[in-house]
Amino acid sequence: MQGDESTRRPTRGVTPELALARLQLRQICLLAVFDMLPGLQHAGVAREHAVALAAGRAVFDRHGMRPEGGLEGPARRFLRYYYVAPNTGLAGPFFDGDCQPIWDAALIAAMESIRTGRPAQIEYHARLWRHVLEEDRRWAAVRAYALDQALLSFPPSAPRVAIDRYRHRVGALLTTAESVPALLAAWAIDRNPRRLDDLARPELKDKHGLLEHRHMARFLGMTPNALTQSLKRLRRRLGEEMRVLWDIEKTDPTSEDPET
Amino acid sequence: MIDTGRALHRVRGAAVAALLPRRRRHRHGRPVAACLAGGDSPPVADDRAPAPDGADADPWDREAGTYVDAATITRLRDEARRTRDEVEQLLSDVGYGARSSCPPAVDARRDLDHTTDVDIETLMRIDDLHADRRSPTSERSRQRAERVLNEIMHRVIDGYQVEDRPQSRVVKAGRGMEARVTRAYLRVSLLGRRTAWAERWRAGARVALIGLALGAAGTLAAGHLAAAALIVAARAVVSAASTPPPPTATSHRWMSYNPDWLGGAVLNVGDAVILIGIGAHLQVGGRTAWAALTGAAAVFGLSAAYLRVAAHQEGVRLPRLWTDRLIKDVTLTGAVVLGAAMHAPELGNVPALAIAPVAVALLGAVEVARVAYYVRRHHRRVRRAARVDGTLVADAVAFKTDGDLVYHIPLSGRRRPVLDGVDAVPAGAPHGGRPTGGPPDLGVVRATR
Repeated sequence: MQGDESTRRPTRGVTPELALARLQLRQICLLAVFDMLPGLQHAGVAREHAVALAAGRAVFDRHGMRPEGGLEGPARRFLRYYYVAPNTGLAGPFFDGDCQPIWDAALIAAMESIRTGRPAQIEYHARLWRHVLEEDRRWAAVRAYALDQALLSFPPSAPRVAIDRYRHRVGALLTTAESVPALLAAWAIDRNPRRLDDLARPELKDKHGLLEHRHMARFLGMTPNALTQSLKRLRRRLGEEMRVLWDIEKTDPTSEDPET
Repeated sequence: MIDTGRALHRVRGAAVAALLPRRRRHRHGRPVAACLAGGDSPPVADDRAPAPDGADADPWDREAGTYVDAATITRLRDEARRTRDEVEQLLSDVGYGARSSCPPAVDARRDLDHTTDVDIETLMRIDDLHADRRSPTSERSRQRAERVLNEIMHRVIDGYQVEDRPQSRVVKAGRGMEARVTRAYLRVSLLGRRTAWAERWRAGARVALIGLALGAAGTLAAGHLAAAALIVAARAVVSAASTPPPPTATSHRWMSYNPDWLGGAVLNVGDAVILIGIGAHLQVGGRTAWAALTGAAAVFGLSAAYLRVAAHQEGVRLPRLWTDRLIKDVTLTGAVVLGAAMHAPELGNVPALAIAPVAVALLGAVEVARVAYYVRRHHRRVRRAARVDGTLVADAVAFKTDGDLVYHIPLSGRRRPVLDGVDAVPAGAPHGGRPTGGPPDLGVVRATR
């Protein structure tokens, strides 16, 4: 079978968590959190867990790997690498730099997915979205966004009235627009340049946990295209406000700036 | 055939796993990835630099430990239990749960998003509108300013809670029934259809309605109850067939513009005319007291209907009830048919025809109660919203203008000032910022829910 050998994907460089990605997502979750499940759930999924273990060992055997101490470690590493890592951009603006809530969300989502039967990815996105919507975290992210996008920088010649008016309008936009959670989450996640590392693999199709636009759109009850358009409008509007404020420097003859 | 070497390896691994504490095994032992057999395993991490566990680890570090201790497991289980309902609701809303989704709330939020631009523009023009209202250049500009101000007040005070689901089961049942009745009326209506018949009907329906009402009153007064019953029944059918479709344009819906207000007036006046005909019939039959009460019911019913219209003009949104129309049509027709069918049209000591005025009077009382309730609620919200500096306005963002305008946001929860307290970009920054100084005018009042 020379031809088969030549077309087979080379095993060199395949990491355990990526090798494990060939399993079903539920099986990976079972391997990762079986020990963490409440006692009553153990009996219900014991057989499924045994099947997952066998499947995992078969995958590792195929790659010539032999994990010590079970498959729990690689499975958890799968969750951390493909669920936590792509979304670490959220940690700074939303969690004060702490990745713990994201990791907790991944583990809880894995546990809950076994109980509910829903894909862990969906449970995980719901939990991340819940964090994004939390008032305290959201407002912290709004502030970080305002500073990052220089929404609070004003031209020297702008009068106080114009600055206050600008703050009203930007504040109202960031308060009222429906797509603001998506704006903040997308901005925060996009700040992480490595978010897409290793995700473009067929084994990970519909398995990785990167919170993308299409997931946010669903939580907002929109189509992805509608969300994209809404975000465009919002960004354009914020940009227009800034442009109007900066035009004051050129157009407003009655500046309050002491230098003029 | 048993692979002895592999079996021994597994037994040894299990023994080590059982004897060593888990944390030590992962944190200070060799990383799991390093223990994988074969030459394809990733590079072995330095044992002297133990890989951190769980969330302490760099998420991109493939060699980091993954141990989760018992306390963390307990905490995660508690967290899962605590947030289960909330996440379940979130997933239900997007169609993943067993419970049905909740599109009205989503639609309400989307409306808010779509109108943000318009709202902000309008809010910024509020002072100009007040000036137009106080010193108008023309009557038309005054009317326009008042209409826009009323609309703003509605949005500000009542917000976008029109789609909120009521908590009370009775109110829910009432609204459900109203929705079903409205759908039934719209289904039999000819006015929403784009046919030549519908166009002709649109022009003739009002004339037919008022003509039938006058005809019914005349025949009732003349004592021809059978003919009157036919005419009143025909009028009920005509009124159902001429139900105006709801306004499709969003602006019309928000401004509560009713293109068929004349049709509504014809129906209300027609009801009163028929009641006066019934009163005349009772007067001729010697039931003077009942005749007087019927006349009073006619006036009261008409007044109640126009009280609602007047409240509407004052910014109190009171949707028209089609259940009210159904009850009126049924009782007016039923009373006259009963009077025509019975040999001695008396129910005890009460004339059968008196069913209609009693029903109309009761409906009028309900309408007055609705108006009173909505006006009281509106005024309460206005009073609360006007206290911009207070702390009890629910979910409101207040813009201090000349008129202490309050902008309402339906999304619940505590809110903080958006840009308040955030330092501006310091001087010397690329954009050359400068501190704004003073409190911002965007006042946000925390919810108390």
